[in-house]
Amino acid sequence: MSAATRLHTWWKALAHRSTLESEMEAELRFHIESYAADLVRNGLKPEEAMRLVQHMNERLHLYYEASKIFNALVMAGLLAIFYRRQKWYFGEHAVTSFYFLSFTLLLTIVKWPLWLALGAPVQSASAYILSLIFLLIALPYLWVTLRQLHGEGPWKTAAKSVLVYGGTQLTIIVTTLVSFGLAVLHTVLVR
Amino acid sequence: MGRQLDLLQGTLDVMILKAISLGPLHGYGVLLRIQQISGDQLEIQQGSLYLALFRLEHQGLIASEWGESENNRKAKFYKLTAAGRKKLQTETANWNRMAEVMASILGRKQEEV
Repeated sequence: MSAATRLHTWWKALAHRSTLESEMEAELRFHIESYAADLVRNGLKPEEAMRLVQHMNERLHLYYEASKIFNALVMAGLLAIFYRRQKWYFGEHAVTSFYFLSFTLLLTIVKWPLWLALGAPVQSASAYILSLIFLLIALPYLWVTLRQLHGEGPWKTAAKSVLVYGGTQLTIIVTTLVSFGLAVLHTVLVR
Repeated sequence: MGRQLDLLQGTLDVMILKAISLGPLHGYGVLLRIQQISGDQLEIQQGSLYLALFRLEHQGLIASEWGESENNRKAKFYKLTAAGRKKLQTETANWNRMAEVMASILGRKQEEV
């Protein structure tokens, strides 16, 4: 097996995600319709065949939808960091944002096992790489904002804030890295 | 017909390689061919099948291209690559050796030990 092939499929997943997804959709649609045609050929009533196929279709598309929803929520959490960065201090906003980030963190943790259990491929790893880049960009912003808000004064408060936000961000980054690594291992090594 | 057998861990990939080695197939065709050559003893889950096809293509063991199916529909066909053919030969040899060893172990009687 060549490294070039692996790089090609990763590149396709990263740069041409929508094409890859539409191809997969078309492939699954073909599978489902062929199955329905076979059922009818074997004597099943068209309505009954449609019911069975509909059930199958729902299962096959479940991981697509779950993936899209989770990705959107995680990305929304990341965008909130940029949008609210001028208001980030250890107070009301911090608590609200902290809970919001904790929620996205929870989704991050839940997503991969659920996704892999549903038998999904890893082409959406591109979204994770993007999330990671956003998170890494967000970290220095947080520190700069805290310095602006607190000046040279209440270091204790600033330190607390950094601890809370930094800890949350670090946990998300570590979780992302671990889940991404697991996903790669699952695809490349585990048979 | 008796109850269908559960797939042994790691056997789906080699079964797919074997099915495709008999001629290019689309995903649904792979499923049908495995079921046919196993005498309907095995049931392959669609999720596992497409995940395995994706993995095998990622590993360069199979290649795919879009073509026209028997009912004139657009379908993605998979074929074996040179690396895939080599892998299939190796895995077949390994599997045959393992089967012989297992048969020998399980067929052993007390007086023969």
